[in-house]
Amino acid sequence: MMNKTIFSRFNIMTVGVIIVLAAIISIGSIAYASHSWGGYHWARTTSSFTLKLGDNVSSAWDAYLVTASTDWTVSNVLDTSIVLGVTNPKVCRATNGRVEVCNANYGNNGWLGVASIWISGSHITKGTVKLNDSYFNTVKYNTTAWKNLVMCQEIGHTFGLAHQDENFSNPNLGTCMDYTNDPTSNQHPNQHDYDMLGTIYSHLDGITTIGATVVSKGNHADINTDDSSGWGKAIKKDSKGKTSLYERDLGNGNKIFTFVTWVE
Amino acid sequence: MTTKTFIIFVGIVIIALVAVFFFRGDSTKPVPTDDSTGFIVGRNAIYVAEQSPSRNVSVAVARLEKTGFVAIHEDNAGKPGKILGTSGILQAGETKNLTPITLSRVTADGETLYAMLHLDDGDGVFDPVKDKPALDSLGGEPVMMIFTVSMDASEPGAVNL
Repeated sequence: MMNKTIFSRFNIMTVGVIIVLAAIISIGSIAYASHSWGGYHWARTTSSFTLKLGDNVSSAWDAYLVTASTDWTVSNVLDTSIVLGVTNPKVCRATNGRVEVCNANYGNNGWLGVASIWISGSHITKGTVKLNDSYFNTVKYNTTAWKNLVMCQEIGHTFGLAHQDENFSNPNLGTCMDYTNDPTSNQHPNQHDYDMLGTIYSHLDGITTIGATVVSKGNHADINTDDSSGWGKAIKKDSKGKTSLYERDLGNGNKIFTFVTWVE
Repeated sequence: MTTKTFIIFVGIVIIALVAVFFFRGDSTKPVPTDDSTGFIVGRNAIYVAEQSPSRNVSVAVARLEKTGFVAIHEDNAGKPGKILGTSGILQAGETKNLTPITLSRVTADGETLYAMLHLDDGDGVFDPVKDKPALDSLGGEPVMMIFTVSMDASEPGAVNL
């Protein structure tokens, strides 16, 4: 009888509040599952695109770069191709429209790998990946698993992905976008990464920030637009007055932008 | 409302709360709890991109095991030399895009500089003698980022370790 009295006070309104609270909490959980890096993405005008990865790594890293490139190319929205790198790995300066991947002894700075992106609004315009041999040359980190994990994650960042999880001590999520103490099962992307890329790149942009200027290397055949006559009209000049950006209209709203960094 | 209905609703709320606890990860504590870490070796790390000649240095990421500072050293025969400037007190954990550190002079094109992490001795004021460098857990060396100054530098918009 007493219980009936107490519970009779919980009217429909109370039940509604509880349901709303539960819904809010659930939505919070779903939102956390997103691991987009600040909404940053490469601008492009087609539903899928190919991003060039500049190979500035030593032979000891080549196989890991190939593995990461192959892994990420499984995505439905992007492909990657390995092309000749154009920067000094120690400095690892970025090139418009692509990602430069570098390794060097960067010193005892506390990081194994770092990814940097340059952005215009929410659009990524160029990126770099640095892999720190000061640590990878040690017994602990000079392993296939560690190298796969870090290479995969840093390249993943340059697509606009953040970490799925930043707790080093919890069970692995089976993705390279997960911090861990044991890289064994975190060497490659997982389906959630591919799904996230699908979400990030589910829209089209009016322009593209993906560069077309590529030099082929070895058996990594690629577009060669070294012929400047194919670049289209000049639309931007650099601080020295030289044209730094060309636009070629392919029709149907498609354009190729060629970013040029001139040699002094 | 019956007792049974009430208990069901309370159960739903509890389950939802527990689910949030487990699935949200530990995003508020990005600093690892031990020295055997993933992409961060130990509990201190720093990243500084190539800088343009200036009176300021921008630190992209500083991660500290406890409160501390970033000190910018000039080069002295391949090693950190005189301190040119320091950050304000930084809290433990990861700090991104620090307030630019003002230096005592303008840096020069081609110059090499060092951004070193120092741990606060507890008084909140930087003292190069009392506030010892944070040490790398793997090699026991001071954690520092060696970076260059260049007219061609272009700092990134975002950095992720």
